[in-house]
Amino acid sequence: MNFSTLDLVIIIVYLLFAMGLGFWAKRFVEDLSGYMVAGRRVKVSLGIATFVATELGTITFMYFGELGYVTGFSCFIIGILAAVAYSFVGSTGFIIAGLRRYGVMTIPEFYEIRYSRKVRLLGGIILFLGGVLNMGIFLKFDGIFLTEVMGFGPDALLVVMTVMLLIVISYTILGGMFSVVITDFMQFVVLSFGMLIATIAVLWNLDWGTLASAVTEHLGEEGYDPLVNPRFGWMFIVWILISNVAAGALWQPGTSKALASESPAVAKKVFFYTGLTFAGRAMVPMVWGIAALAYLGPGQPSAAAMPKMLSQLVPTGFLGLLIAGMLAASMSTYSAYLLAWSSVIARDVIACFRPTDFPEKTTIWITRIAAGIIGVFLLIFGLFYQIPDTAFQYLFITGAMYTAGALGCVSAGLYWRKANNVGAYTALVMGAIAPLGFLVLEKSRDLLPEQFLFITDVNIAGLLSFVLAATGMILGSLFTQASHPAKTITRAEVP
Amino acid sequence: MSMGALIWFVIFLIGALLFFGVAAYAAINGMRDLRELLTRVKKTDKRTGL
Repeated sequence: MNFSTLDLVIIIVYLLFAMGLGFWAKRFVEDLSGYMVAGRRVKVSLGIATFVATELGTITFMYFGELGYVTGFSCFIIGILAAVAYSFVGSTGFIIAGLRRYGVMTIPEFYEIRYSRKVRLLGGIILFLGGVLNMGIFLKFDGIFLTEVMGFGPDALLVVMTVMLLIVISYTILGGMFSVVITDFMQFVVLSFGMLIATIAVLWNLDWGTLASAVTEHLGEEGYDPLVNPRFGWMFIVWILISNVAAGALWQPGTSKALASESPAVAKKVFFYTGLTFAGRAMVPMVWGIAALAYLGPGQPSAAAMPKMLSQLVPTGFLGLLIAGMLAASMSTYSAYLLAWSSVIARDVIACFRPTDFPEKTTIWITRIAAGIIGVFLLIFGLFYQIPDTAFQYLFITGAMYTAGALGCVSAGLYWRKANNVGAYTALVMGAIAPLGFLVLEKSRDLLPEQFLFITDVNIAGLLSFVLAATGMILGSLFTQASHPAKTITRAEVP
Repeated sequence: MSMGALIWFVIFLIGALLFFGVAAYAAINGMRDLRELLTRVKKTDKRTGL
């Protein structure tokens, strides 16, 4: 164990600095648009930095590290799929350019413009549930990372994580997107540096030949070929590719970066360049996981192996920088996610029970209160919920609850004139059914009749959600054109 | 080292270079964007009196 007092000092100084910066950003909030999308003034480089920081949390390192440890090189396919999907969204402007043109702040806002206020309410509820469930395990995995790397007991860890969450909640509540953008940028620099240090330390001690030997010895062909590995296969590849396109275009914390961009052209560039980083974003921690397999051997708890290896290979002093980088990664992710989900509950759920929106000040206050409540939920849920399968698959299946229906609703809404309310309701509900079925039924797999067992396969449930949502949108719209004619967006409806 | 390991090594190298390359670019130019963003907000404050 290389963790020392010097490392602890580095971490405390860093946390104080991040907190100060977050609070300082409050002075820049002028109105609702300033609070939620930083006044739509974010340019390309800053957009890339804040987007990468949002999509890289300690949880990301943990689930990719876990995959590297249990599946070897074959999991690299996930990084390739993500890079292809996000670059596709960026180069074509698929969905994001359209949403940015309409000037919405949250995705369900588009449902009201294109469909109705009730569709916005349903979409908001599903997005909120999927998003918060998805975020629910972040704290737990951050906890495992810090326990292993710092060598503290689980009790001290709970205190550290609570303090970290309180810091993030407080500056996100006060400063909104300005705090998120400013702290994201600083955290992006720190976490990139931390990743570089860890990668050099790992490859300095264990060369590629050693990693390859460990994969061959412990995993065989499954460690190299994603089509042979039973966790992956064709169904997984198709699901993850579609899911990444949907998440790239429609996952509120990430899409809010496009919505905060200066223009649709800037939004496209931000997504394209960020897409280029997505292969490395996955493969770097995966290599750490493979290194853990080579260094510690098989049989370790899969999630804890990677941080345990890092604690032994990264030298004193640098370990503090690495942990500061990981805390940076977590804080930037928490802040962006907290803001995204609290914005959705305020604007797309609570406000939708009224005929008109709340005044801006009231919306900001509801958003702040919601962010606090979500924070408390994260602490409780993260500590007690046992995730099925790997963390990666849990995150994608909870994400699919919302992205499957949203992909149907938004893409059809933007690019298909016949898309109507009935199609939108059907897509949203049918997209959520398979993932929800998986999450509920997976816990009672033994009690299920054989013909329903397929729903407890995470890859089938994930792919099915997109197929059902698309079918729901197409059939729902086509069969009800006469009774529910599709709405045409008027200029007056664009904010 | 097998051919499989070599192929994944080349893919990893490209992925890592793209990640750290874009990160370095965004870190250097992002500072300028951030300064500009905050300056423009301050100017707006003076103009609107907020």
